[in-house]
Amino acid sequence: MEENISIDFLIKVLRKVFLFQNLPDHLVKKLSESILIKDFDSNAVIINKGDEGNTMFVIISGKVKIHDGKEQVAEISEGNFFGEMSLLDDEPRSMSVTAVEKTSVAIIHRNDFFNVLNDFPAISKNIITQLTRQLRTQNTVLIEQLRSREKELNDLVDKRTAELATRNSQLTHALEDLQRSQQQLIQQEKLASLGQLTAGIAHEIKNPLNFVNNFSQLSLEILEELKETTDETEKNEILNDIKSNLEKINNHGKRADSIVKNMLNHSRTRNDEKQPTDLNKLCDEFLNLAYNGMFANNPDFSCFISANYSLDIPKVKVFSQDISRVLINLFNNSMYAVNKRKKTGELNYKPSVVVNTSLLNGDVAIEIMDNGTGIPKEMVDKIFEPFFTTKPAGEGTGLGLSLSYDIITQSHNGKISVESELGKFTKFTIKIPTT
Amino acid sequence: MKVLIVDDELDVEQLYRQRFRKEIKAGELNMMFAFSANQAMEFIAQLAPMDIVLVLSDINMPGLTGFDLLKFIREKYSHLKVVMVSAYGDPDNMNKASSLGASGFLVKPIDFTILKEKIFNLK
Repeated sequence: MEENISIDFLIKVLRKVFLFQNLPDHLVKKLSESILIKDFDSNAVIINKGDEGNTMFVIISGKVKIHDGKEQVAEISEGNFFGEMSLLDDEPRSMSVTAVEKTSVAIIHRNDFFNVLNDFPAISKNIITQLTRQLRTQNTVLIEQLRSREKELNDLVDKRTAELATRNSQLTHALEDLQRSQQQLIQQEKLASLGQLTAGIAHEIKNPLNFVNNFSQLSLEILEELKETTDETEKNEILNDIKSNLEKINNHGKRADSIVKNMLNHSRTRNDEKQPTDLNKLCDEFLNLAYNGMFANNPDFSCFISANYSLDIPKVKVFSQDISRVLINLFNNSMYAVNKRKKTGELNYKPSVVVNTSLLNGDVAIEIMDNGTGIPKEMVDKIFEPFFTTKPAGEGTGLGLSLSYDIITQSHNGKISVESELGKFTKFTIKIPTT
Repeated sequence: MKVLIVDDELDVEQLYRQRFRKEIKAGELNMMFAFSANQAMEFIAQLAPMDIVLVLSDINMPGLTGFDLLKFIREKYSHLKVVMVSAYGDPDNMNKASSLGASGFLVKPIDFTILKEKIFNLK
């Protein structure tokens, strides 16, 4: 007991406390004699949750808060008491208590408290009343906190949901943008490969067109001769020639027509359905176009072409425009590679591209092998990746092989593989299942 | 007078034979056809030094090209005149033909009046 606080003052203080209100004078006096007074600064911790507790506290002056971590359950001031629960049940402190302002407390020890209880059992009623009040108050506070926490949580969930929805819609937009760009890139690649073909196509069309012009011109001229001649044999000869010329005109007209149709097919988006296709014929057609295209762009270009088509191959259901794009791409790459090697001026170098088809374990296998520059080892693995190109800027889109890969593996459930040795050869193998 | 025409398009034979019908009938011209550079080389190897005087060759053919044939002829049969024929009349091709020793260059579609002149001026 501190010297500056008199017993009388303490008796007055204790009398104010609900718990001790009807306690006989001699017991209040006895209790106040054993009391310890302690001062706490603002924010000083009086009780820590979990501590052992054998004391209770009466607030003489100031204010404290009862809390569990950051959750405050009550704030009490002068004349109120706390810490009595651990006295009664001998359990560790269930809440923390911190001074809110400068606070002075009277500390009552467990033994002194129980002595009072023994001497004056009627105090139990006060204790129960007080405990019930406190529990009710705490209960209300906790429920309120629970409700406000629930609302906070709901608000948070709403906020997060809204954020997610926004994010989701952003992602959807981004995905749509990506898909659009991808479509554009695919279209660009189609146009690029069409561009590579243009020269070949022009040549292919020019040939039949020349025949159409030549044979029709010729027929006009020999018609004049027919008018002039009187010799029956010669007349018959000329008439036969004209008939044959007209057939040639017709054939070459059809040839030009089919070239234009193929060209249009190539740039068009693909059919909805796979069509049974003669892959040998497709190979030959596009090998020819690729060769002519290469030749038209590089007058120096020459290349030994060998094509060995297996007659065992059945017609296979494919998207023929897609497969022809793959073929053009591979043919162009091969011819580009042999031409590049030829330009190095290597002695006795004979550029050659070999195309083989065969039926292999139920797959149609198409092999395209060239003895061009080859592909460095470290690049072979990347060759089917989008935007990977070894060609100088502007010459390749870097999409040809990646699109080819998708066409073979995804649209046709097939396989495409590459073998190469730098400076020696490159061999692409496509396998397309027949069923 | 023998002329060897080299072109991978089979129909050139009918075209030329009709074009030069009168000359062929009159025995002024004998036309032979080869449909690849290889075939032409075989013909020339068999027939030379017979009376082929002119080879008219397409440039762009599968396998060996007209330029390969031109080189072959220049190396071994220097008396043979070679006229190149191409759908591409670009300067690169023309320069290359003349630097390899071609006597002429015709662009398809062939102007047969010019061709006739070329053939008969050889005499």
